[in-house]
Amino acid sequence: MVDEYSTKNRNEWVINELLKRDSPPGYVEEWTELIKQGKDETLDETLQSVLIFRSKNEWLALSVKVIKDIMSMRTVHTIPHRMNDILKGTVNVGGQLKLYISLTNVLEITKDSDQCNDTLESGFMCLISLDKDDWVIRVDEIFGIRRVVLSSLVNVPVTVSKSTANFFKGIFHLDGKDIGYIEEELLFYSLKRRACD
Amino acid sequence: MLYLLFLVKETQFVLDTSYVVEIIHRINPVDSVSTNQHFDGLINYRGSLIPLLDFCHLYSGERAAPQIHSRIMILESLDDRKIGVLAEGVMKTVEVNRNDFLENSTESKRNPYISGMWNTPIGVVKNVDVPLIFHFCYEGVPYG
Repeated sequence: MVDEYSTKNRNEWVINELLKRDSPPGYVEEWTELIKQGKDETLDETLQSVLIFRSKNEWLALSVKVIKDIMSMRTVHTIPHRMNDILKGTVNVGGQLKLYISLTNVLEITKDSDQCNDTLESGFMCLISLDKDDWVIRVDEIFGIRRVVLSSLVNVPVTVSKSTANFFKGIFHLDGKDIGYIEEELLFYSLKRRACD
Repeated sequence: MLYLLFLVKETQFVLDTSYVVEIIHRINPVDSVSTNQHFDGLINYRGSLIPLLDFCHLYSGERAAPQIHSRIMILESLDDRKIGVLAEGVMKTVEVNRNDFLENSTESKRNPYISGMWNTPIGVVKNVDVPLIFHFCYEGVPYG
């Protein structure tokens, strides 16, 4: 824990020192021109920044607004008599215990591919938060942050939309992958209800 | 409540994020003629002209350094008036309980726009009273 904090402080110090440089020539002028032009409000409404990640064999996306932290895998502490398919235990995040849930069980994703690796050594943990509700989920692989045009979302196949685990706003296609865009409010509402049953 | 942390040299300040519309890079003023020494003039912010207050000058008497970490915080008052506040090191937000700010009469006499001080393990953080900053910009009440 001490190491994690000292690394964080050191990183902050390095960033601060890096930014304490004089602006390069033309830097202020370039920004003056950009800010003068104004913002395309219509573009902002239709574009959403999302974090794209893989859980088991499914590529998923969550709005960056709910992503609070991405960290390496860490020990999951069990909670006696309180665990179920969704709630798997607690995880220490910056000195605070956060509830760790299985996103794949919430979304009813089943493993059917050899690329999946369920060992705790691989993957990342991701702290998601909405209206002060914090949950930690595990993701196998992170693709990155991309901006998605909402109008490009296609409807979820009827086989999925009729199921009880339909948490998707829609599906979009990127780099040969079909990515399910998770409706964050629905996910958090469901977590609150089901994890504490 | 969520506050935006920024610097004047090594002194740390926060202001209430509910007033913040946008944080932009430092830009050149279109009109640098100002009747008040703390102002850099007017900036063209997305088509409208708004006053630019150099917070570093207001607090320390020295202009904000022309460095990469200098930013302009675009603030909007409850009556939809906007100002730009130039400061250094505008890089992160912090959660602070309003009750954690302690009043300091010496500081508030010297700088009336400071409405409290928050003692943290990494040093003292001063809370900027944004309505007073607006009052200063639009009504011209002199400080410092």
